[in-house]
Amino acid sequence: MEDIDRIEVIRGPGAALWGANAVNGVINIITKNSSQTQGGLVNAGGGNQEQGFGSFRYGAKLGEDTTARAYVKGFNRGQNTLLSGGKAGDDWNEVQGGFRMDSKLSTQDALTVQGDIYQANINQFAYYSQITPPFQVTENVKNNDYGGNLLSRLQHTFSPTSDYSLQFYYDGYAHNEGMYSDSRNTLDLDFQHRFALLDWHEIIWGLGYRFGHDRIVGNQLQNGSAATLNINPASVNDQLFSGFIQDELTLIDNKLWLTIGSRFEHNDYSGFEGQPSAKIMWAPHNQHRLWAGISRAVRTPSRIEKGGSVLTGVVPPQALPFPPYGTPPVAVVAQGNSGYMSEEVISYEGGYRTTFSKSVSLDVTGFYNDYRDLRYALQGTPSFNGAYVTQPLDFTNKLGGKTYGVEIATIWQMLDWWRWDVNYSWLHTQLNNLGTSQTNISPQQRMSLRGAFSPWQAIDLDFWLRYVDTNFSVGSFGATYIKGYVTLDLRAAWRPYKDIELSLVGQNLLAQNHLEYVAENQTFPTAIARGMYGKISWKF
Amino acid sequence: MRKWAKKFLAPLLGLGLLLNTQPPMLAQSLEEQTVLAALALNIVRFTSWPAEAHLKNKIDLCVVGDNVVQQSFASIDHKAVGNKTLEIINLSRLRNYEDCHVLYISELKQNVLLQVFVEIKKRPLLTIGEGYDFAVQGGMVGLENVNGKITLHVNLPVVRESNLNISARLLKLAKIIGN
Repeated sequence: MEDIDRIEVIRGPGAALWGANAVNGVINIITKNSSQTQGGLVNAGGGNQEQGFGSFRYGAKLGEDTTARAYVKGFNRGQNTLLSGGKAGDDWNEVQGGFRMDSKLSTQDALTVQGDIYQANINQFAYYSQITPPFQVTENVKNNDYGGNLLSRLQHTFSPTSDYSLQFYYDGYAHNEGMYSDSRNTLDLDFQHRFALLDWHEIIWGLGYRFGHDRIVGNQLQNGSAATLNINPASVNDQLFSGFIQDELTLIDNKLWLTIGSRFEHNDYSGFEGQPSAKIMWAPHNQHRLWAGISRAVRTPSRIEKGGSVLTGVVPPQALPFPPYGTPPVAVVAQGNSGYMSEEVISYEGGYRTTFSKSVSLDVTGFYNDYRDLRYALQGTPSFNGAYVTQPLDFTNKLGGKTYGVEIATIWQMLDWWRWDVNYSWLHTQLNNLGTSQTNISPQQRMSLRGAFSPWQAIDLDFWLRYVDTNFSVGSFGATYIKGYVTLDLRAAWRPYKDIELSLVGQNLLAQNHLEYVAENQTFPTAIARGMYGKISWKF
Repeated sequence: MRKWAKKFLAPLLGLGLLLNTQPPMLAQSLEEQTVLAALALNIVRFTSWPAEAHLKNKIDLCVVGDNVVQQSFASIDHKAVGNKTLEIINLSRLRNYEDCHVLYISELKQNVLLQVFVEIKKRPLLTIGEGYDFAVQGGMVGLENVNGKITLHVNLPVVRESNLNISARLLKLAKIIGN
């Protein structure tokens, strides 16, 4: 956490710049240059949910123009509670290590090399279906994950208005769980060039290539029953070619800007995708900014949607009133579809930003999203093999709909040492072609109130109150309404010496536990438990 | 940066992520920037330009920064500096900054900043920015917040190279980089 420089959240479709699947927003986590993380840092702590965690990081100068850091960290997180009572069996632990090296090769060239490796054990109390009695079984599953990545980036700067970067990365992971085992290797090459044209254009363009190799295999249940997930083919190589160009035009200096751009890509799942975007911003006064935009983004099909099949439930045989006759068991199978296409959104947005006094800023955004070709599981034709009936649920792109809403964010710096952050969002979801609710619906309202104050120089007090409206979840359990909830988190920190900080954190304090979501399949509804932990951190 | 910024934002950011939420906005407050703008005005008052800078009756102070930074500099627009007037010019993009007399850079990517310094090397153009690093890397005056007090870092060799003269009265209050 201490190695993060900043986190950028870009709301709305970001596909023109970031590529397919950047549909509702992009979160960009930028880590610090290693020159900013010199010396040592040790963190350690523990509590009832965060049972134990620790980290060690050390940064050093490797030469006149080269700095580096390395870290190792780990944690052990406790289990939550099932909604029906009892332990959820979802405790997990992870250990991770990595490095980053930054080198100034010349005043114009900078090289960054970084990598991480990790290993995690994730436990799960899960249910699976089988076509023989008792038709549904539960298992305590121990999932295992490991992986690593390596990234290298060279940046060359011609002048203040022109630079390019060339980036290479490799990522590999293996994930083994009750239902399936999955491994994937990805190689990615990315080139970006930014330059100024005339006095009023700023152009960024880039090219990318990605190669992936994966293997997904369904696993037999612990009792020897057949795998509930199958995918065909089990292993594929896939490629992604992409290019993008964006031009930011200053139409009136300091007053009016227009940004237009598009990404063009070709992937092996949905073929060619064009994802354009246009945004206009007007600053009538440097205190006020108004903007509006329109963009298209797609979510490309997954391997499962194209060629997977998952046994989501089995209806046990029913005895008919005239023995010995009865109905056979019915296996409900969600079935991929080789013709499955990308889901698409066309998004219309507009907003207003102001800093209307020295201490208050306000950001209001309104949006209207028009979705097409969303996933919808359509009942297919049942078949009977003599022992049981198979009822396929075929993945189709038959669902459409729209969402619209408003998001408001304000910051109030009440005093030099007291800051408030207030956020509110309202979302309306309307799906076509659906009589009753047959798919998940996001909460309509969310509210967040955060306060951070520092009454004395060595003391920080933070609190965070959050409200989330009722939402609706559909899974193999059927439909569940998840009640609205309010949570409160508190943090107090004290620095008895300059480089030592002691802190105490309470999370989800208002209830013993509360339900936030229900998984579609496999796991029982699980409530998030109240947590407390203490932490000590030492810099040297 | 002000006291709260350094003290709060890092832990807040940490908390935010642990709690799996949207991160807080990190923009500096207008109030904080207004202090820096007032300070920039005072630095200009203690600086004299060589004849080659062709200073007539106004001093152009160009600002590179977001709308909050621009708004804060509006408070010192048209202020008198000796017998001259300070004029604020907002550079919403990095063009024609060579013609400014003062360049205030709030935030620029590292690689871009270094190239700006290369391009204006030895010109009589006073550069002011935020942080100790700004001055170390080739800027003239870096404003750094140390425990709630703003410290001035002056890179004297760069100032001298450009034939600018910063008054000894100001230098006495500053930390000098180079000899």
